[in-house]
Amino acid sequence: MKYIFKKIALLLIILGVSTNIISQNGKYEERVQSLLNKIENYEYNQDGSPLYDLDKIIKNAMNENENLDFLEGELIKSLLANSTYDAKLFICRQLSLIGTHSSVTPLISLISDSHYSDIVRIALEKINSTEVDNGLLKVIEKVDDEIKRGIIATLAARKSYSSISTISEYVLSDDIELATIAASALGYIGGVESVEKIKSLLNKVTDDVKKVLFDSYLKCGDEFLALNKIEMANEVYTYVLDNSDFTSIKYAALKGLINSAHENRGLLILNLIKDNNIELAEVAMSQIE
Amino acid sequence: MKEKKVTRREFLKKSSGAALGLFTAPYIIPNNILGRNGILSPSNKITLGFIGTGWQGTANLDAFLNEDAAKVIAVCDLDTDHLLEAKELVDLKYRNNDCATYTNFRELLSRQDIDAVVIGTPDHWHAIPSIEAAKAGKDIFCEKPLSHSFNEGIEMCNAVNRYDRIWQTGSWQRSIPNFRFACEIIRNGRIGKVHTVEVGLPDGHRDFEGTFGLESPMEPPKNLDYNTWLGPAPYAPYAPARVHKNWRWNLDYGGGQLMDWVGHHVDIAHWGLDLDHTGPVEIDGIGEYPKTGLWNTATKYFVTTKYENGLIMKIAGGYDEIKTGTKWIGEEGWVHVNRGFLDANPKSLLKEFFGPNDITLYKSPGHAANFLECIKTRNKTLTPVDVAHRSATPGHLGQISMLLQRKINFDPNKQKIIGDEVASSMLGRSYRAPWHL
Repeated sequence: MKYIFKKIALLLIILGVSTNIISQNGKYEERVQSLLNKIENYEYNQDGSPLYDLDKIIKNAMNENENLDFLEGELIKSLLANSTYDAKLFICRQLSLIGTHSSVTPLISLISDSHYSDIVRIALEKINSTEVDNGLLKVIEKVDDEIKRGIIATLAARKSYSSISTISEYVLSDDIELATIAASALGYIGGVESVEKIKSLLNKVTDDVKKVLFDSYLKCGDEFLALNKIEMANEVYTYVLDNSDFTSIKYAALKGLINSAHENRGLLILNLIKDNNIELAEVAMSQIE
Repeated sequence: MKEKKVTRREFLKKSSGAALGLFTAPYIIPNNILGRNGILSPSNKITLGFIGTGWQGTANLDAFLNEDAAKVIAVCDLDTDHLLEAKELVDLKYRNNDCATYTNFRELLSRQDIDAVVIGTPDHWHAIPSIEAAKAGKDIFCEKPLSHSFNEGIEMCNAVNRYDRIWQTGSWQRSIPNFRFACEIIRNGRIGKVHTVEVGLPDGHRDFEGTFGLESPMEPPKNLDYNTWLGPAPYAPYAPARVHKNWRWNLDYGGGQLMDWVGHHVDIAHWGLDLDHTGPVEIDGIGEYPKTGLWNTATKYFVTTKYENGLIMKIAGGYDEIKTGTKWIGEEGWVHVNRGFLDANPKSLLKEFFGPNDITLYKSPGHAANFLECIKTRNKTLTPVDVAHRSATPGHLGQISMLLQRKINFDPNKQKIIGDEVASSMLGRSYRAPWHL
């Protein structure tokens, strides 16, 4: 009999605790939803305290590593609802912190809208999922040039190797700004494939874009050097030195070459000094401490 | 990030081998690759262009107009009121009407007759013109903090080093004798091993432009190219409280008091401890942020950083126990330095004399003069780009820690946050199209 009472008591306690947890969770969910309802209508210069409060909840959830799926889901609902620009901006900033692959499709669904394309990239740029790159590459052809520029900048910031081929095509665009961003992006992404693409594009572009491509080429060389891939770096610098007509680019390539020459640096510098060009000698000497 | 240079010993050793005919260089270097490097204008002066001629830009303009070695030939600003005031100042000094004006910094950078630029734009507009100036072969003086985001700082260092540009940061306290003296006391071990540094910075938001509360959206004034002013930051409607001078109180354009001052007092803390090429390994910050309103940077903050050697640096604003300025606390005493203020324990340190075997630090003839001198000699300035990046780093990381409300770990050699994907993602910012680095 005593045993049965004990069991009943234990059951009641468990039931009480569970109900309490459920009710607390219910309150938590209600609180989040209520804040988001307000936030959906938020416009700049109105009371920002709902944003502040939800931000606190999200930061706590991140640090406790709980409720994140729920919060992400609710943010996505509000993002896709008829919410204001300022609400969407706030939501995208939050998704940049807690967004996962689940956020990618909803975010990309807004990217072709010029009002939102910049702010959805705030989130997309930070989400650690290959679905972001795949999603952006799927839509890039369909959006206008201004949005394309933003997408390319985001792919570059993400060091998206899978996008090198697509970005390379835009280097040949008639839109000089688009071509420039694409040329610059290849340098930020870097790697062997970027180097090959840049090399293949150099003779197909205008001087303005060519200069950016050479700069990107140098960036790739610097990255190789930082990774101790000396031969690859050396190859890049030598190619630029031999093929670029831009003074500042040649100067940077020479500097890179001296840095990558390692044990032979002294010899290289000496031979450069042997050249009768006084300016060149000055560059070489500037590398000696 | 520190540049690898050839030592004279290495050079001489290898050169002797070459003299014996053991080496033939495979490299053919074309002529004239230097451009204007080392070649001064016909007037034998260093020609300057100013980008951003508002508050700090004008202060810098005044400083350079008083330097005989320089000649200001162009100014650029998005606000035509600022622009015309700057032109007037320059033309008045030179008694002519020659100073060119631009609203597009790229046009100024395309001028072949400009040797160097002085950048005094808001923080979110440091990286783009700096990197483009480096590519255009200009030497650069730029305001502190070096960058608006940590990743921008890395890219700025890369570009400046790649194109071998001379860089000076507006961390001018290094050019002031009492700061240098304080750092020399520390460097020479006069207070023993330093275990703690307290860096006291201002708190709150100061209304520098009289625009506090003017947050209602309105049409931007005709004299301001507001869309370009926003630049890489997300679109937001114009309000007077958002722009001139007070932009620093919004996280989209500045970093509040913490980032506004990190390039001064943390910069000095690093200099005193020879930490110019490293950074903290642990960063733990707490900050109080306004609940609403346009000015959203921390009004009260406390960032505790720990360095590899166990040193603790406390950076705080709004905490009485941390006095403004830089205070190094060692096993045998302390030194506290601020603008126009130097104190120490024991007091005898204030009369310290340094002998020939002691460490003496870089002595600058003045911050602007040091920049101009280095343009001629191609030597490093007192506050080169890599040093400025390291000075700003505790601020950037402190900001991230405060915003995430958690401690972060950092590898100062690789310059990466360790084991925290979200914190790492906050090292950079997404740019509004069409802006990009």
